[in-house]
Amino acid sequence: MGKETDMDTAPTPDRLYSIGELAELTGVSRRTVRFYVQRRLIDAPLGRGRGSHYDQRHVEQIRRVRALQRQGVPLSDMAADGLAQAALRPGAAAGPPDVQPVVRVRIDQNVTVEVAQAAATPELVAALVVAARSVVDGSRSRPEAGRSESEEKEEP
Amino acid sequence: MTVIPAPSGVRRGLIAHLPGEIEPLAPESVPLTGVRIDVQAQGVASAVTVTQRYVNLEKVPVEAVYSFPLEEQAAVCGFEALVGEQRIVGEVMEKDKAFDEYDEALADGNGAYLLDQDRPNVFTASIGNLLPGQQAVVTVKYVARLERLGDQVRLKIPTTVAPRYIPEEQLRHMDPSEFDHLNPSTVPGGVPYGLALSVSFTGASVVTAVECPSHPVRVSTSGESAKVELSGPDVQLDQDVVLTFTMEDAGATALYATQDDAGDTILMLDVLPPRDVKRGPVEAVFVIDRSGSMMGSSIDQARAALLLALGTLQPGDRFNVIGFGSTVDRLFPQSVAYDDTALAEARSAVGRWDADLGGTAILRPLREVLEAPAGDLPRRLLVLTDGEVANEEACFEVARRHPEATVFTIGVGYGASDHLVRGLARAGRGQAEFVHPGERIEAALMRQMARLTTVGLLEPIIDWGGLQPDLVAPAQLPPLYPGTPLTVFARVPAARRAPGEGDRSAAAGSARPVQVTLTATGPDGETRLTAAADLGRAAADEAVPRLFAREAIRDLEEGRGAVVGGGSRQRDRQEARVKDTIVSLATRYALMSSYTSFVAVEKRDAGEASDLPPAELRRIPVALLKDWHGTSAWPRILAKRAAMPAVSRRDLSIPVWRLARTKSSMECAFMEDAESMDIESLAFSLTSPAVRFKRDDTGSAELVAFMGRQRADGSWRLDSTTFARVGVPEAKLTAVAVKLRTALAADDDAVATVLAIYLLERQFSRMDVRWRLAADKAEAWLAARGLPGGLGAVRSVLDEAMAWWTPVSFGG
Repeated sequence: MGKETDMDTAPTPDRLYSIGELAELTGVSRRTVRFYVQRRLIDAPLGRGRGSHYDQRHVEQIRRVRALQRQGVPLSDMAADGLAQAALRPGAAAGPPDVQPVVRVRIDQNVTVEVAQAAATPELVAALVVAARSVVDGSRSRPEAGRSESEEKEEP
Repeated sequence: MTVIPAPSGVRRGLIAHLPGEIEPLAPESVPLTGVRIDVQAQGVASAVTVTQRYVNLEKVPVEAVYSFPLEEQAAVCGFEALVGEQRIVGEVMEKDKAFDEYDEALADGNGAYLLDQDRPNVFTASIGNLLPGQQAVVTVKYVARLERLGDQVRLKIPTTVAPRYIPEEQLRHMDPSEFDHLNPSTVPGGVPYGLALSVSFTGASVVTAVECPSHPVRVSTSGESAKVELSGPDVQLDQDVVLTFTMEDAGATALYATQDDAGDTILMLDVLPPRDVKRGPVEAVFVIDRSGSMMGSSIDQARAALLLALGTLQPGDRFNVIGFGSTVDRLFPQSVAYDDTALAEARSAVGRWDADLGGTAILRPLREVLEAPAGDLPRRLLVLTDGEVANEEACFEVARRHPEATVFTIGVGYGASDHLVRGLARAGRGQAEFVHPGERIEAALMRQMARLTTVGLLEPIIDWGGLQPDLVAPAQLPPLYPGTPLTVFARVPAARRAPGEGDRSAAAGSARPVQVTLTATGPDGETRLTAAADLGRAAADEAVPRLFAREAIRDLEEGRGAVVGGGSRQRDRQEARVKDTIVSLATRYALMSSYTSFVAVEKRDAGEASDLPPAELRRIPVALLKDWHGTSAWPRILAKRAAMPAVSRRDLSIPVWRLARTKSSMECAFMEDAESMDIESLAFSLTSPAVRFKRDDTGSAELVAFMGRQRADGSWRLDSTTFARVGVPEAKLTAVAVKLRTALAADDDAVATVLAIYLLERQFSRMDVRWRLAADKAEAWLAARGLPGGLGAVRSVLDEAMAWWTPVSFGG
């Protein structure tokens, strides 16, 4: 990984950059820029296809993501919480975010089980999932639930 | 809208892959529908084609990104996509340039295909802009050197990228896409795509047995060749496929002469050193992985192995046992003399061991052991691990910095990382072995113990018979170990052949014999091995030049021969030089490397390309490695699986574990959980109706218990309990002992030791690989006590005294 460019050389806020220029300016590879966009760690570029471009906001967002990574914040947490983006919105609190690592298991569209990572043994999580499933399945009788059951039974 | 499981959470340098986010997996959101692996193994190499079929069943264009493992030895030399009738062939390019091509093609609405190497054994394919309803069949081709072990050839084909430990510091600075590739989302319980695999093997001599400890297979053999197919339509990609082919003949030292595309000669020297072992006192340090990922079968293997290994050391040796995970657990503060007290302490501690030490932080114990001041004895490490870490290079570096120590490794588990396990042995100038949970660990362990206790390592030098190679790989030859093959490549440029040889066109066709000599000097003199070939008959070859280039690239990637020291600027320059050399080798031989990628672009019509929204990312989830810690407790998330169609299914699937040919019969062993055993439809003709069912583990525990009574010096005590367990009751023992004492004119210890060897041979003959080294130690002890004949001298007395005895039938 390259080194970040000095802040002094940061150009004017209304300038637009190609992906190559953005990569060079922030000291990350093109591949990394694209990865950040795909994972929604930074905003999508302006425009589409070959004509798409980036601006100063993207530069700041990438620097923010890199800073958070160095502080040890998992990328998955950044993605979930939109930290890098939120930090740049007006009124956002400065300083490192207060993140508690968790294990999340989505039971269905509306129900998620969340356990503090420190306490999340596979056994505990499995027990919680089984319990949550039975509550969710018991509280409604949608046909989908039954179908997925029968698919499970087909397995050798 | 269906969602692919989010990338699993990395939790601050702990185990990097607690499944952080799990969602129901919808098969239609996984564009990969099947994987097929075809192996053609012949001569010195295997040519492998991995075929992945992608179908976009969604309403939007998608970009499928799939991280998958290949053998670490793989020289990846081909990447192409078949889209409809169109074949799009990949080209090797510097890695960032390849990505730019790929990214620009996607921006233009074209199809694009990219293959990156994240580690020598982890690759990522990006299938860009797969339109709704579109199908792409992607093939990856590689060649790999066949791994020989005596009269066996072993294939180990990995199928999934296992969760790995990433140190927190590394995590903070890692390229996020590299991290993403090394840690694909895992799906416990099964992924919706399956595996089909077929292997066609041709050996140098008649194939006498084929074994597959990992999967049920269908096997047919005929003379020197064998065909193997995975049995069953939807095999999960959750563990290595391991195959061993046993041949009549172990082969010999040989030299192969080939030509690359530019007309340069590429020589491949395959050395098979003699088996004689000279044992001497060593400092043996066992470094055992006790991290959470070892839980289950791996730690059981490790414990059994260690108990056996401890028994083979001898008085005069020093030893220590180090368990590691997030913390390091040393049996002794430093290595101690091998005696009964230390041995008893070690046996009891190891018996209580569990995989309870957290993450696979392997670097710290390696550092601690290697940096401790060495004594008079040669320091030898045996590292036993599943190798699931991301800081391989740091581990290699510490081994390279300590050439006074030699590092041997054993990879255990369903998918040990061959990059770490082999790379660490390469850096430590030792040897690597692998053991699948379906195999017994003893054979590999005893080979390693024999190498580890060899004194006076033989440092080889090669005389290329007057030729002047411009590149030899490996650049630094490892020591020669008894019975362990060593392969060395050399490139001789067309213009730089021996003086007076004339130019190539003049020489073409005429015989130009060359003799290559390897000389290895040890304390007891020289070992000299020669092999010859005819350069005049050197022909173009698909495999050997690429194997050579891969080996040369590996040397550079692992920093061997590189200039050490200098300021940071000098280091940067050095790095740039290494990179340039790798890129030029890789592009010349069309190979993947850490600095090169394959890219292919499929031009599309402007109209077709422009109207669609940008492709959405679909990261292909991988199957969680079988038996990985915690899997059984995770909720099972299932989806329909579909393998690519295997060859015809007309014959019934007979799951076979081992097929062996003896002089009078064919012997066939089935998987224990086989559903069908229809002997009639076996793919080969049985020459004898006797089909035996093997894979018998009875007596194993009893042997371990019996061996556990052997003392550090190699002797046994005349203890009635010990001998009663192997069918010699106390009264009989007393009677036999009286006769032996007279015959040997020796004390009870000698009597017990002779009797113990006798019983090992008769009761446990089937498992002799497990006790052979310990019995040698016992014979040596007898010889030192003035009983040089050992058991041999009194065998007739024993045969008579033990005439009443029959082997105990354990567990039956």
